[in-house]
Amino acid sequence: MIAIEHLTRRFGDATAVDDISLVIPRRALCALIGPSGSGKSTTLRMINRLIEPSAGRVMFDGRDAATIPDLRLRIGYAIQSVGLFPHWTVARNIATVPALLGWPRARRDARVAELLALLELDPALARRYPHQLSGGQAQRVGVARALAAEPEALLMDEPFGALDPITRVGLQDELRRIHRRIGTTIVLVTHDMEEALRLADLIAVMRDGRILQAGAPADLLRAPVDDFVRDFVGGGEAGLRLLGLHAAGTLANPHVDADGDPVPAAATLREVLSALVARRADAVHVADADGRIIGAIRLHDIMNLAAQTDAS
Amino acid sequence: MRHSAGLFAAAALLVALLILLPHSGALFAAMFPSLQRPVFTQDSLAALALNHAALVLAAGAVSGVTGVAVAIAVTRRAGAAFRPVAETLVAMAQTVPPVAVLALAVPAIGFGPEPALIALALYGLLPIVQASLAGIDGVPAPVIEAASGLGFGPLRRLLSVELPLALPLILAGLRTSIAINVGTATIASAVGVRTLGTPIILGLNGNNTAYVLQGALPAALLAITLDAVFERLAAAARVR
Repeated sequence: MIAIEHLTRRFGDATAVDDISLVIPRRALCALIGPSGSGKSTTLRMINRLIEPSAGRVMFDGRDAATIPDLRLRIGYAIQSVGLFPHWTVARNIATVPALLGWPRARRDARVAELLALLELDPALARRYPHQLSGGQAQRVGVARALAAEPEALLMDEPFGALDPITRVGLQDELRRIHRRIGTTIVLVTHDMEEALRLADLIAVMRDGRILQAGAPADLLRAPVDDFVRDFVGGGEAGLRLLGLHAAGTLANPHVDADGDPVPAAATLREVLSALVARRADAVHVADADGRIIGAIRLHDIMNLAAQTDAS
Repeated sequence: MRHSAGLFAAAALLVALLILLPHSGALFAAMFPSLQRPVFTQDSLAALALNHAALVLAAGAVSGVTGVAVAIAVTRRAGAAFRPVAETLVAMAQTVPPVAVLALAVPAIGFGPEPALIALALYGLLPIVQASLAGIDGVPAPVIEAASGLGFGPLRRLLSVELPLALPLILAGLRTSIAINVGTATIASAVGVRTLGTPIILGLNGNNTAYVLQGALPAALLAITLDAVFERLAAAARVR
């Protein structure tokens, strides 16, 4: 668990982060989101003390981060511009922190192989140099490097911001899969609300160095505290984004029939609605991962769900 | 490996010249018939060349260590304030002619290799400091941030990230410094150091062009050879 307590950072006369507090539960994926200059990156860097707080503290499982030796060796760190070491091979880059921690060679090599597999990177890339990688590959290597020493937490500063949309969505899916598998607490800075909604189970909306609202994605969409949060989180698409939080499988009704190709159970209700509109249909089949039809979703099931969540 | 050919050719030519020049009396007598002693025999050319190279390399080592240390110091947060001063001082060191440094150093510490070493080391400092600064400045900011974020301390970051990435440029600066100083070192003979400048200065004083040639030709080849050596080193250090 990471507890941010009254954290403040001043640069000269300017206050970049102004007395914020936030509790990030163990194994959570927390997104810090806000416009440029809202203090989200400064907050992230105070968690691993790349920036010293002017006031307040960060607690890791009840321990003040300022008193933890080798703090940064125990927290993974991945940034948008990746910052791979150009004079080292991919394997040596990934093994950076294990090498600093003095892991024996065999353990490091095994870990590199394991991470290449986890991030679905070709094992042959291990001997390449960073300039021989594509942007997406470099970012995967950056994430692998951040995860190498099995850190207690992973900090990511707009890790996918510089990638093209397709690569970005691919890596977001990958991150979600990895997070589910390894369960490390992740703090992610982003300005992309779709990214935050897709990945996070806790979102903190920041502006002018303060946290305006922190909560589960659905809570932010349903009950924004003010107009800024409403616009930032939902914009004109609050309803659609809310549907985006639910998987089709949860609403599939086995007693209903439909025409046409099924949608996968892992698709979001937002995608189901889109499919219904595109097909001008009232209902669509839902198929599980093996392609078996598990039921169908009707347009008014989606409307009912929206009504229920509004009431709750 | 293709650069090695040039290196070996220059080195072989230098060795051949050092062996053959003392035995080329007939050639120089034919070229300069008016000279009574057309071949420099007061000292072994090979010994002079070795001495010359040793002086230049020693000066290179001194200015290399000093220059890199200065560049490291002024690129740390604590030393950043001194950077303009350091750059100005180093530039001034190259503005002062080495002859003037010799003239000032000899009364202070006497004749011999020490004043020559000081003059050459000062003169060769500028290219090394400039190149090292460029090399350290050239390390991409995200690489520095990633290194810090992953837990490198300042010393480890310097040794395993900044210096290796700056090394090709540092070697380029050293190469320039050494090439300049092979020529400059000939004036060290004025303060009694035996270098390839000895026959040149004797020749200039005694109006003996043959002596001047017998010092200048090996000096030029020495410069080319050392330059080729450092080119190889820089190529080996370059990041793929």
